[in-house]
Amino acid sequence: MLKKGIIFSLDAILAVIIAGVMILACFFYLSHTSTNLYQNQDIYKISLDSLTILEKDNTLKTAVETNSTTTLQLFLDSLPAQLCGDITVYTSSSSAVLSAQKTGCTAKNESTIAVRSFVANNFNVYYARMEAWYK
Amino acid sequence: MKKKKKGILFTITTIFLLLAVFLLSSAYLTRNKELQRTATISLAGDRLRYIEDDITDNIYSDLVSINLESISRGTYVTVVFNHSNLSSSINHRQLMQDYETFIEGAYSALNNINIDLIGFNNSFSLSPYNSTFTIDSNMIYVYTENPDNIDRIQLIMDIDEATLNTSDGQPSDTGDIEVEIEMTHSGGEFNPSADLDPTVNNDPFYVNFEAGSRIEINFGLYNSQSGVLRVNASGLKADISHLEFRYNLLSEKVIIKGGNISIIYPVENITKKTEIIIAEE
Repeated sequence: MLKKGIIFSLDAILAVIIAGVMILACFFYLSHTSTNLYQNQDIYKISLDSLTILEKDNTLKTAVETNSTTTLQLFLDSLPAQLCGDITVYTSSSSAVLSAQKTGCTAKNESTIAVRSFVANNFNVYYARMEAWYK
Repeated sequence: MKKKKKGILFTITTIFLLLAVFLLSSAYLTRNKELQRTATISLAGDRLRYIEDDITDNIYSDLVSINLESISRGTYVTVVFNHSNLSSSINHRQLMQDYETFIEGAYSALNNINIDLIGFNNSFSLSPYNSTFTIDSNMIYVYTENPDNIDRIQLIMDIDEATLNTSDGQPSDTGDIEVEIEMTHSGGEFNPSADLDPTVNNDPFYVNFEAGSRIEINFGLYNSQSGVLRVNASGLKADISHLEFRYNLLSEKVIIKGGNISIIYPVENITKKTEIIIAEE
């Protein structure tokens, strides 16, 4: 009777170990999936689109030629509420000339960076760098 | 005995169920990794297209100051450009070279990709007529491989020169390609035209000004090549509002090409090589 009890206990412990290992393996696998990549891709694509719009409608060019960040600030402030971003304009030799950040955005979470070049001020080449992140 | 069999059956069932959950989660992870890779490659594709557009879009109009106004097809194929900055104070060749240096250096590093601009300079070609346009400071050269395809050239320009004109001249008729000039300057207008032979070194259309500046337009033989159009704004600035080439009809569509671009995205080892199409019919 005593032997039967021990065998039963061993059987139960073995079952618990096997079940535990399998459940842990499942958790291990599931913990390796991530949605961050998709989120980062989304904000990166938003940055690409934003810079494309700003270049093609001459906002970047006008901002440099008038030395004003007003239109850039307006654009950034009109981004979706959950999205933060800043735009800095550099000369081709990487000297910053203009900078604007969305109002109410300070701490940066994981961010993405996009760059777009443009010509302004009589044939001078500049580039705009947009960093975007979720609030 | 019956209980023991039931126990074994229960254990086996449980193991199978757990195994199923294990395999399911494993498959989920594999699928998730595949999706991530697909998404990464898809983003790389979007990124390469974005970079190509960023580098090539409007760059010829921004740096070489030439804009295509229209390509029309009827009895003839007519291509019209405008050019706002024909002046010796602008070095178009250097501007394009500086841009190439920026793109292949700092811009490539910022984007973590390798970009190579091939044959990227102050020239572009127009097919199927094989006309090559070069804008070089105060000069425009247009070489056409087979000038017999040209029917007419028209140039409308405004000369930014404060002093009055002192003399002007034009070539006499030598052939059958019509070259028509409409020029406005401080002293009035100069609207000559002539039917020229592309294989002959024809006299120029020209206007001289008091300050010693001169605008000169040649069409014909130049550097052993026939059918070359040359516009030379010497010591003044010319705004060409209309540069029209009327060609004989060919069935192929008109494509205006600059150089070539090669973009290598090292992370996924993806390469994109393409011609810079400035415009097409």
